[in-house]
Amino acid sequence: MFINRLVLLILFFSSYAHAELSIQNWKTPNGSQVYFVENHSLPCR
Amino acid sequence: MAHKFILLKTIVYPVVDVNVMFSAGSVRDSKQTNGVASMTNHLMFSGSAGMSEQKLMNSFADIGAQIGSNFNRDQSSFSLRTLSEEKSEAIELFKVVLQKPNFDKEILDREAKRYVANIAQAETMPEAIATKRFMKSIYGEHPYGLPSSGTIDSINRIKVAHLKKFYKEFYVANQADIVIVGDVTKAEAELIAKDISSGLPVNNNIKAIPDVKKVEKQETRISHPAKQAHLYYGVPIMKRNDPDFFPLYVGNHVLGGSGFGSRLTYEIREKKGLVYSVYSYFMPLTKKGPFEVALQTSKDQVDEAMGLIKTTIQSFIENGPSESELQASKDNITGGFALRFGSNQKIMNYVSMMAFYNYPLDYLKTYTDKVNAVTVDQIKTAFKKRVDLNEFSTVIVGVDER
Repeated sequence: MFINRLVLLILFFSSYAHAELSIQNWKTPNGSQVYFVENHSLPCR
Repeated sequence: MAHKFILLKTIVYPVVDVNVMFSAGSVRDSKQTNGVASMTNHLMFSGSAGMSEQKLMNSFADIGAQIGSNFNRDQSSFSLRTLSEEKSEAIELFKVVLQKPNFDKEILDREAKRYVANIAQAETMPEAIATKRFMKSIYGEHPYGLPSSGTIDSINRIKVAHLKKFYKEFYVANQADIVIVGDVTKAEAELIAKDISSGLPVNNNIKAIPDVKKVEKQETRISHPAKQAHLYYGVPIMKRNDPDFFPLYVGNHVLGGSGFGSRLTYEIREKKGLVYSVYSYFMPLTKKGPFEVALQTSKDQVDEAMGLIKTTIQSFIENGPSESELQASKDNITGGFALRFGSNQKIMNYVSMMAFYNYPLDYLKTYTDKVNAVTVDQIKTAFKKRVDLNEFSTVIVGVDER
């Protein structure tokens, strides 16, 4: 039971880690380059 | 008796991370102004828009926001982490920090004393002596050869006017890279970036960073009472976005980049027992960064270790890695790759590097495939073309001078 859960957890995290990173890129009117990754759910460390 | 379990619930608060980078590292110093770049970076959190250092720090702390800075040869950068519900106030404060630094004379004087004390202390440590001398040896007059925090003399020369001039010249909107990661929408991110950028100076005549020129190789031996000798061996080879990056990087992983599994470790540690560890690495910079091999060993064995480094690298240049060594390195590099994006902070680090060095947006997506595509022949070709031991300089600290 515990092992099953552990396996599930590992599966969950590895699929999440493989999730593709979507990077958006633009310039401000003043010429600064901006890179943006929108993420509302990531662990925050 | 039953086991007791204590359940701790982890509450993840949504956060926003912002990182603002300027091409304002110590490569922007000259011999005369060495340390100005570092000191400018260092004093950015020491009071802004007339607010004291203490008031500013308290204001960030009051809303639970964290700020940090980073400085190296290429880059001066500033980061903010805030809870998304406090982001308006946090960004407002962060903007003030970036756009309106005080550069107070009292604080400069206080920090200059600390710099001088740190430099004086580093000058007693064999490792610090060796790396400083190594960079000087391989770069000559190029600013990468300057110590990134300056020298005692050059720090003592810094005036507030130097910092203000440096800030106006290099902390400029049109050269800034802004990275935003986390709990904001694209529209919000656009506003944040525009807000930060619009209050920064603009400089359309920013100086180009000079190319690295070849320097006559040098062998330097410096005596030191430490028991172990510290050895550094190398030359500038690879810059960011280098066309040979993948064969050189993967090849070096076999040669000396993978720690205990590497060729250099096998030859010098496993077979001869001369060292605890030995490594080699390429540090790509805006211009050619150092390729460096380093180890520590006892003073009477340092010449033998030096000889082994040379024969190991030379044999690698001629023969490259074996297929199985190459496969092991590919597995090692690509195996942990996805796990490197498991947090906002890690994403921030990678995306910041991509932004600062103008990497293509698909860099991370194609990284694993590019590593896996490297062949033994490509590694041999790249090492033969780019790595020439006749150009390598040597610094050994901890031997008697000859």
